[in-house]
Amino acid sequence: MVAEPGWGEGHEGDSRRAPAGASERGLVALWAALLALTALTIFVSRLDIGHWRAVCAITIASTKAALVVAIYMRLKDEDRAFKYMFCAALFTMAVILGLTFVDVAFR
Amino acid sequence: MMESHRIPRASRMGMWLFLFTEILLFGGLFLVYAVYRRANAEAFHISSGELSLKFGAINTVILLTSSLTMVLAVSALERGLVGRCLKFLAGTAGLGLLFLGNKAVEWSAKFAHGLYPGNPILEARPAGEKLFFSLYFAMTGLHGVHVLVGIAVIAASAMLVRRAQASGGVHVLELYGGVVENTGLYWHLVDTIWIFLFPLFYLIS
Repeated sequence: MVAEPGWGEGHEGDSRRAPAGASERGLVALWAALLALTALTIFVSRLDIGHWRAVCAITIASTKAALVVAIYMRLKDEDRAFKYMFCAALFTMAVILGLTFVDVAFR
Repeated sequence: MMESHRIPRASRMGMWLFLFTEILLFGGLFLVYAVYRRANAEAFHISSGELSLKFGAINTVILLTSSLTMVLAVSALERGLVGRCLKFLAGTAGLGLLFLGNKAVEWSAKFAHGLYPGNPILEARPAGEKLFFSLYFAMTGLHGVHVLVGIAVIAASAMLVRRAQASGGVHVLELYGGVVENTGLYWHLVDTIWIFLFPLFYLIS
């Protein structure tokens, strides 16, 4: 019923070339990993580790987001222009956050 | 064996540019959240405890699963399995509706307790708690609107694929592979935003 994924034959034209339908098993495995990380972040949020809880929550959320962006959104398979653009958007966000925090912290 | 037909690079790039504006839109709200949380740590802590972790966690699982079905829909279409693609698109939209249904139940419970901006019960509370609930409704509300739009876009692209399939179907992928893929990009971004909303609102108590 399910055809074997075509591992990269005959991709001319477009530069990006993840195999057509990159291994479905991999996609399902990533889903399982994302659920595991969700369970982990709930578990950590109940530990009594003070401000490290927030650090852990943000770190786990960023890890999950990076996995979704890289694999489900296939950014890892895009060419450099996409990656630079993505970094530029994150950098812009970081500057806005950073400058605001500096302002708020030293008011 | 199906050959891969991807949408033109420019089309994907256009979608990514749009997604960057979405990141900045939600980024602004995350910024407001961060600044007010810093100033009202205790109130945010207390208010967060009033949200239902159960609902938040279930909705997280629903959205993560919908991202899987979305990516499987794209993968199926790339391999020429149009029927399979349509099933996964329907599943994704269904999970989106389930998410919104949960959200409706969750919000209703908050409304029933008077925990919404403008209600005297919430107005009588400390400023930090009012801020928390205002941000909660603003951010999960804006996110919910995105889920709603995502469902509509998924339904529209599924209809295009289905119509192309009905009228012969050999060029479904060339015609609408890109539509489905860009729809997927949007849906995954909406999922990614929830990945951050969940810990910030439900896990800081």
